[in-house]
Amino acid sequence: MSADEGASHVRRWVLGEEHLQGAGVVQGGVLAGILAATMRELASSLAGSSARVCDEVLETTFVRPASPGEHVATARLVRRGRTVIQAEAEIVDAAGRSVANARSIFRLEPGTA
Amino acid sequence: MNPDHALLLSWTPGDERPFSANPLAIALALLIVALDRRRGTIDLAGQYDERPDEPQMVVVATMLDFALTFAAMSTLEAGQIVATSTLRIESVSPATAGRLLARGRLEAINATTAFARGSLHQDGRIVALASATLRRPGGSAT
Repeated sequence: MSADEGASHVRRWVLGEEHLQGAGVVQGGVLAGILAATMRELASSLAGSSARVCDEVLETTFVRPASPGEHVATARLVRRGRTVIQAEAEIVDAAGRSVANARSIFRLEPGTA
Repeated sequence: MNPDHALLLSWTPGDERPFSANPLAIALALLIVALDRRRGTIDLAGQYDERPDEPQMVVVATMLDFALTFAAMSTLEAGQIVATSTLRIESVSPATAGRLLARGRLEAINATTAFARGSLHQDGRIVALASATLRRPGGSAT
């Protein structure tokens, strides 16, 4: 078992009126972006300062429309390799209902984070 | 009717009306640059300000989601909508502050689902590639 196995990162996000699209719900791209950002924070914490974490692939599934308010995203490590980190994440609304989930692959490149 | 859809259905070349009822599109200064409703293709210009409190992927995914969704919506009659079900983004190169161009095109559509692809560009460089499946709530056979 690696030292990173089971690693996770929880981040609170407050979504406002400025994140709404024309139909009056939070735009899917915003949810995808904050899921990616939460996973990226996890990946960066695992990679340390000697590697640069680069976005490679992000796959998001939208579960239900999201409204403005507090949301919580939780990212979990799926696999850490020598050159990539795979993570998954879910975002839930204030009532604890899942609104979207995502998986991401980050490439690790030599250099300062 | 969804005001974004109304703009898509009434847009003509040279039209610089903003998406006035869409707070996110306003924040991105989103404008239609080109639109072909028959083919389901759209080019959208937007502004990336590189704010420290806004992760870059939020802007990348938002621009691409708009382009893919609007490409599909532009082919639909008034009152018909789509909602993003899945969105896949492949990052090619980082964006920097400045103008972004999002391109979307409808690949296929049936009674319940639309399939779209797109790309995000900056200064002639590809920033990201994307594909999406879009649900058609209450959709009818086309």
